[in-house]
Amino acid sequence: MKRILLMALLLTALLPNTHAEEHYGILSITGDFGQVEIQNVGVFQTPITLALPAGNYTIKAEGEVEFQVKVFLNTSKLIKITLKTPRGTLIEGNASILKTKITYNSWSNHPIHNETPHLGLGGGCGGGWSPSYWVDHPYPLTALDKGDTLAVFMLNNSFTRCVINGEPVGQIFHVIAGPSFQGGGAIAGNASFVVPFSRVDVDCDVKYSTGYLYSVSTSSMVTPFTILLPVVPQEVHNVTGVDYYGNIILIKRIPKIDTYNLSVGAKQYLLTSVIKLKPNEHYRLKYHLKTAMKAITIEEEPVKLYDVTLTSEPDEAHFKITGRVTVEGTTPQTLNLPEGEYEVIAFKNNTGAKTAFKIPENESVHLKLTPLPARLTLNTTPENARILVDGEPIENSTLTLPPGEHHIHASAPHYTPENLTILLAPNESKSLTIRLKPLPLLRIETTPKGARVEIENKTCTTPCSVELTPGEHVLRAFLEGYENETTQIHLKPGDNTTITLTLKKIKETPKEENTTLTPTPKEETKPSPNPKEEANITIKLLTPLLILILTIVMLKLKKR
Amino acid sequence: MGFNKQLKWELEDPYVSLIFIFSLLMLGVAFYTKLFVVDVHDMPPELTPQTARFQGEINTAYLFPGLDDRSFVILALTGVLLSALTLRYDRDTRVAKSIYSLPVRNYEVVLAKFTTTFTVLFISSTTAALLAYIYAYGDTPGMIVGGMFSQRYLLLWLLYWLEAVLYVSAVSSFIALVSPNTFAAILGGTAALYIPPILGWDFLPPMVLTNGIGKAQTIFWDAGERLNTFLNTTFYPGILLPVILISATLIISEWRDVS
Repeated sequence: MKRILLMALLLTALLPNTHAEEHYGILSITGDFGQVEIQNVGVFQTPITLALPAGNYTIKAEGEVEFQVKVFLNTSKLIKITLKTPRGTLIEGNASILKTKITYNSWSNHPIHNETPHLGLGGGCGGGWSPSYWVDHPYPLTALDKGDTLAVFMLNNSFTRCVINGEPVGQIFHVIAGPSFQGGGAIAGNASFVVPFSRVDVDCDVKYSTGYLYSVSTSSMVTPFTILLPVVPQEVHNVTGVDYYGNIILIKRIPKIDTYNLSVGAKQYLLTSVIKLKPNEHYRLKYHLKTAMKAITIEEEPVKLYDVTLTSEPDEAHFKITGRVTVEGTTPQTLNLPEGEYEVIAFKNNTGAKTAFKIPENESVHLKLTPLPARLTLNTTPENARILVDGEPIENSTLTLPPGEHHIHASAPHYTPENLTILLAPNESKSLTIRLKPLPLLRIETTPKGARVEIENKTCTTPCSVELTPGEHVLRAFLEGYENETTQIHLKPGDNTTITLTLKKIKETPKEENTTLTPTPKEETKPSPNPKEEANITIKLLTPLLILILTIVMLKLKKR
Repeated sequence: MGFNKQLKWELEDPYVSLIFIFSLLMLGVAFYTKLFVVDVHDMPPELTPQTARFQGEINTAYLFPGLDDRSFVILALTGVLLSALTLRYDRDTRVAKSIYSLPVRNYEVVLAKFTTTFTVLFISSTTAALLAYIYAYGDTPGMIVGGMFSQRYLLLWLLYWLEAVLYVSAVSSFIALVSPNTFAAILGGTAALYIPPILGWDFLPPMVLTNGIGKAQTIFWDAGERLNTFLNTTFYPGILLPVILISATLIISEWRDVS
């Protein structure tokens, strides 16, 4: 009997508790960003305070700088997140910075070292240290520590020069890299294309912080440090080289690789730049991590929460609570809310209910859903704007709608479209004003004038003005005799901005030998298999066949 | 009595069946024990369900049993025993006199005997590898299917085993035919197959095959390029050399009469 009782107890402990209540914490986001996205929760206008089940949350905000905050929300805790546009430059330097991102991750701890690492590496061709530093995007790359503050990244399946004393001047190697493996076979030196490098010196206002290329950090990437990165501005096809045994090595395609994510991190903060590089250049980047740290502030404090149970008739109605905090969910549900006054609207199948309650006075709230409609009056600017309510075009500006959540889409030519969500209670009359903002207008000027500018699928000759959608845009400027220029701009609805690009003249450089570090453009290197290689393949395939035919002929000819 | 009948007769030989069972069991045990000590790790820089699955499929497919020191000993020994038994032993016991006096050309008899060796070796090794592999990783069928078919590792491994078995059966058959007796055939065949791995000759199987599959795995992400790399690396020792040896064996069989 005792055994049965014990087993029953054990089983009860093991079985999942289907009536378990969710435990809540409060997440408050403020700052000068209009809109933030909480992954798997929704998009909200700041300031916003939400009561959410305890767990991990990722908050994203986009502007000139991208923000990403990863926090763990604990039960009965209030996390206050403040996101502010950084005051001052985040990354200074002569590289083309396409994007800047600040990341805060409460689970990370990017180390701050005490001094420059002492790796004891030789400066020679063979000297290096690579305990499987590996990144597989944008293309497989493997890294090598070549000095106390020098790291080299190599592109898999390419011909790369060995780095001696910080310069790619040594023997040419056929680089073969894998996740747990890195090797190279020296070739005789007559490679048709050798991958060029660019040097990036990275410094940071937080001394001895850790550097990352994508997510890889080598032992030598402690600020200030230098990294050599392969830069291939255009895809190169059918690259050949001859090894010491005279065998032809054919690399069918070396991919275009000129954009990298380079970050510097300290403690929970990571400052990332997306940089676009040109071959054989020397870049210097200074990361202002202290400025980035000031842009995201996180505070955590305990908060007293009270239980409140929400029920409805019928069940499984969607509800939204507004007041000191905002909560969404489905009835019946028990929530933890801080002290305060609240309003709740519940709706289901064109029926709804609205009521007010106080915490801690009310421990339960019951809502009886009725089918009473609501009235919505829309005032739109411009007047010719096209309005869709729940995907249907409207004819009048005054609408009678069932209670609940409704999605409104407003659009007009030369204006930025807007999407809105409105919550209507039964028998409610609401007025909504929608003012569409004009599409951003960008005026582009170049020095000298007359450059062709490409922005996504639009082209113009400078000086010119282009109407664009809000968000990130990459501009490319081309002018004969001048180096191509690339830059990125973030535009908001209603912006009227001018951007000026200064183009650099192309320097006249004497042509190098056939191991030139300038890539051969794709058009000029049409797939034309090496005749010797083609012959080898044919001979390879024909030889066993020929031997078999000869054998059969000999056997047939020889009489028994 | 033609080639087909001769082949059937050879395959029905109880000694051949016994060697098949020996090979299947021994290779199965070798692969099984190897699979449980192999450990493959990968750290995708950004762990998403897609990268984890892709890497998992590749790693699972790469773990299919290949030749290591132990399994090559068993494969080589089986090949030598089979070739010596089919090609040499019947000559020593004078059974060959009645076989070779049948209205069938000598080379057809030898070809049937070679085909027997090749078939028995290929079926026993691939079946043992497959059974051990499924026993070890059968609880992740999605990974096996993804790796073998989407990443086309099945073709790569079939080619690998085809070349390995072709090499072992061609070398052992050639030596069995040119040897004066069964004892010499076993001794010569064993020596010829063991010398390359003992001396570390990486231009002959099994090392060239292992290197070829490793090179194909690490350099290329594209399944077609992987197959091409393996074929290019192993063509001479894995295909051309066996074809020459088989041709030579067939021609010699016509020259050398049964005594």
